[in-house]
Amino acid sequence: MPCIEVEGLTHVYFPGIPLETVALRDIELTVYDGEFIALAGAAGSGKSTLAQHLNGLLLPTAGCVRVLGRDITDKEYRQQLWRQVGLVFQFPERQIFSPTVFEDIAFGPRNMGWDSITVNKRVKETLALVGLPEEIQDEDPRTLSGGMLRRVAICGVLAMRPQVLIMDEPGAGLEPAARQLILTSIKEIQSQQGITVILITHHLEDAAVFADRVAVLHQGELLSVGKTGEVLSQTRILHKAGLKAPFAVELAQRLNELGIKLPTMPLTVEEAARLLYGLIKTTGAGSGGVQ
Amino acid sequence: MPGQSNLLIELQSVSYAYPGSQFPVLQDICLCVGRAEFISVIGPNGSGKSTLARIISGLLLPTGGRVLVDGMDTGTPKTRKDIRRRVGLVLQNPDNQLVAAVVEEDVAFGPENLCLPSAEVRRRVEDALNAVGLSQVRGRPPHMLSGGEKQRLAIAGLLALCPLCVVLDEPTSMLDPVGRQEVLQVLRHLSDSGTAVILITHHMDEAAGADRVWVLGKGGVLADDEPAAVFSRVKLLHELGLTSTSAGDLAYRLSERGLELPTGIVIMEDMIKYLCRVLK
Repeated sequence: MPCIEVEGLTHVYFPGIPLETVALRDIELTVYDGEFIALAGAAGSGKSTLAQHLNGLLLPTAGCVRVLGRDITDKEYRQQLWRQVGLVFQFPERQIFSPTVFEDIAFGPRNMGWDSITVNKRVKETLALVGLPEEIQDEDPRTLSGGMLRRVAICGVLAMRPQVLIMDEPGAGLEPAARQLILTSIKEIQSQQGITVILITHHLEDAAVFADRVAVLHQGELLSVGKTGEVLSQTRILHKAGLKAPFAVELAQRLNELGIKLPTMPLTVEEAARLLYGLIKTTGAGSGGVQ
Repeated sequence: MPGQSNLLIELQSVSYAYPGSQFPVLQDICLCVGRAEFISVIGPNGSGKSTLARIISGLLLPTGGRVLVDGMDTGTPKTRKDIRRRVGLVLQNPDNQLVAAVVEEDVAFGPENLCLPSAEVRRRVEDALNAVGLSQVRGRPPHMLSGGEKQRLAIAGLLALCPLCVVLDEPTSMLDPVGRQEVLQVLRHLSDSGTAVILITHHMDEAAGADRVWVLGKGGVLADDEPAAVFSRVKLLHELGLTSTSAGDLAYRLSERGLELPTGIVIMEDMIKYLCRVLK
């Protein structure tokens, strides 16, 4: 089932004046229900502009965007659209303003008109979803570490129970373990609750581990979209888009040029380790000390 | 005497606790930076990396111990100005430190404030823009630049002050891979041409390009060594919520499976050499 349909989407900033910029050009993209899709591209490629169309913060200059079957320009749908599509901006912790973690997460749900029992329940559930202890709800957000704070900020969006979650670089500026933890919990929520996740990133290592499909944007145009494995092995397209292929892909291609062929294309370091180990074992050289 | 020894910056048992806090962020830190040395600093969130950057650049004064920059104590009010000229700080978001409406004017801001003659200002702006590769866009407004260009502009603003050391607090975390590469090349070039570089980063592959790596954690310095040595200590890094480089991680995963790899494989080239040897 298509969840989001983007047809011929063009967006022009400042039309008609000298600052006129075409940010998106004729984008065709379908996002399916319950999938994890990565939207990759260099700075200025149009990722964020596209994302803002998906929850109606921006409206198309031309073309159309349908979310869950309804056109985003439909005024009556707008309220509902904002509830259905949660958008986590870059560095979302900068938008935290409440004195306690609970208050901050409860802000959205309260505005949805839920009663306090439901709001309480949602806050607790959401904290558990991202792996934060319940006691944290009484803490002052300013006392938390960067990784925890980021998770609290994401909770604020998740607590509204969106059907579609859009995240703009959720791991930026975090230590590797915190980054991993956030993406792992989002992946779990996606597979358990069947929500659709759109991850905006220029870090393809994350896309390699978590995404089902990857769409690559370059200067406002869609260069490539497909299964993660297919898109990430098209290194030439990735380079054109100003992106860097995952380490495992680059390694496999370098080895290939040197005449060492891996049976399949690894996307992650773990896959590369598995394939290389197999290869070293079968060639016999790797059993025991290889010096 | 300033300018004499090969040692540029020295941290002697430095501790720091934020005002009103019982717990020191940094405790009893001893570190040194040589002239033209390229150091990267890694550590989990909250390990005091940014605090350390501010202490080294003299924006914060240690609550214990002392910091010597080019022989001068950052705690001495008289030398503060001299120290700030010698050590420059670049922040995560370049927009926070660009001040002028035109690229070259932004670079000129620092030297103009030093009341240098205009010919000298012009020369320094010229050199700084060349060093970061932005001469072509000198007449443009900074907001029209890409993230990588903006960050290089912020670096140029410091270079115009002819610093002996540039401290960068996660300068690449908001940049795409191309912008990131641009900034790293500039840093390598700086260090090669005599300016010390201290780079704080969460990207291990980036950190591995330095001459030396400091690992911060638990209030102290847990490692201070060459990249090959630091990124081979995968268990320590994991304990801290960090990882090795991609190549180091692969080496670790292979050795977990029972292969005996030579130590110190932390970059792609070394991994390829090793694989060629065992697979050909």
